[in-house]
Amino acid sequence: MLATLIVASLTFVILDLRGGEGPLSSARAAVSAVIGAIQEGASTVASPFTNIGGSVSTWRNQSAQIAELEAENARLTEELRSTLSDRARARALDDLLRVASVGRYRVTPAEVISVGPAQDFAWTVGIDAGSLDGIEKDMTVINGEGLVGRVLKVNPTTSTVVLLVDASSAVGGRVATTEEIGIVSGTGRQDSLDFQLLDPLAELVIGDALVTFGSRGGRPYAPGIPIGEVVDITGTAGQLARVATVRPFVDVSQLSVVGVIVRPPREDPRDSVLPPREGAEGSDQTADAQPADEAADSAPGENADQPADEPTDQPADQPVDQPVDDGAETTVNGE
Amino acid sequence: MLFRQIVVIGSLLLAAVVLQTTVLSRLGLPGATPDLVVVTVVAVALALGPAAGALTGFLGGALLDVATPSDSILGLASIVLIAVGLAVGVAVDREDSSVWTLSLIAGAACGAATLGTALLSAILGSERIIWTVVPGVTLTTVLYGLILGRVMIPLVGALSRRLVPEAFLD
Repeated sequence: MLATLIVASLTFVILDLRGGEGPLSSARAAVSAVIGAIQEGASTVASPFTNIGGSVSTWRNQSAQIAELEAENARLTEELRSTLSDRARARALDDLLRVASVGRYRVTPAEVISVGPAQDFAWTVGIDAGSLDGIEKDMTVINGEGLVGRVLKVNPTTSTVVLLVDASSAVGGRVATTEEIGIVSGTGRQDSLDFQLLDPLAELVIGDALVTFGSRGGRPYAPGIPIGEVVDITGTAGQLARVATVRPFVDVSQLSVVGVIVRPPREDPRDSVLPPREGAEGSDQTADAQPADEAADSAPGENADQPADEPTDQPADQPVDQPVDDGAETTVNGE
Repeated sequence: MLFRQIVVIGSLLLAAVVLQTTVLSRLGLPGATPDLVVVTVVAVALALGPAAGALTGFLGGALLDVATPSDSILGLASIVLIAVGLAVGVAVDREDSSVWTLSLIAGAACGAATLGTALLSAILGSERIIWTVVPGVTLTTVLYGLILGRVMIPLVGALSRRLVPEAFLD
């Protein structure tokens, strides 16, 4: 048996050494092709396991690298997020400054730090400015969109602000284009206010914008601050129970940067603070109405609708409690 | 009531009030704000009994009422939360119930506290209670209370067992 095998092997050797095309070489090629195919398949299956010894050490390196990259990724994500939030804050501050300079309000900026729980049914927020920052009770609080509310309580470094939408709040409002006045009161819902015109025969259309009428001395509400837009009117003209639903410009669920008006403007800014309205007809109307208002109601040379670059603060000896309009607002906003 | 117990309860409540007013109320969740303070009162009442529950309710309500953004009637929340702490402490046996049952009790307590606050405020002449809004707020506060209870009840239980073992109800 063994001898036979040795002889066969030797025969192969001799035949192979002799060279040339023979029956052996073709058989060899065929077997080699079959084995090659099997090897290929096997190596595909085994490929994850090759070089296991070597890969354990590189795996350590790689996991360190992965950890490093993950840390870097987290850092960059964090940076991106803070950049985005910084940008949002900067935009909010820009808007606030624009409103403050157009309306010539002197504001102290603050940030909302706490919100009253909804189950108290009160719409109040806490801001991070207090009596040490010059905040006093009944100052008006605004942001870049318009009226936010008024200061209710003051602590040394924080204050409580009651929002416009709170059911206890009532603001004297004026329709921007028609000069009609009325009372805007909170409903306790964040997206609607009630507006009742003092003159039940007055004309009011959906889309009319409202601004604050202004309290005596600018407290609790300074004049000319955008309040909201009429979205619905119930009752017909002449009816006593004629109430309009107003959607506030300020989204109270998204409050971050606000400004407390520490000194109201000398002149009523009228409608100049209102954002330009969408739609050609509306914007024309506002643009046309404004200069006439200015001429009629403001001192000459006091062009409030220019985005003023000059400092908004007037000399400190100005009479602050200059009446903005007649006495109606004391009953409206009276505390 | 042991001094140590009061310190533990006070710190828990302070954390709960700060978290509730600065974080939970700003999440923008639909309906109510997750009522962490009520759940804390329930958890303490379950762990330490009705007397501690009532004390927690009183302190928690007082803290809520004086904390910055609040404009509620001072003392109202205390009355409601004392009732919650006392009732839960007397009526519920922690050992006999599963943690989910206890969480459900916490949720129910949140709902009861919301309704109680609304009712008392309305009686005392608050103009803020709009009854069409109350059901939605109550339902969501039950749901949030259930979820918070699942976390807070075991947590306060473990804390009490470690920090005030002499008062812990086994």
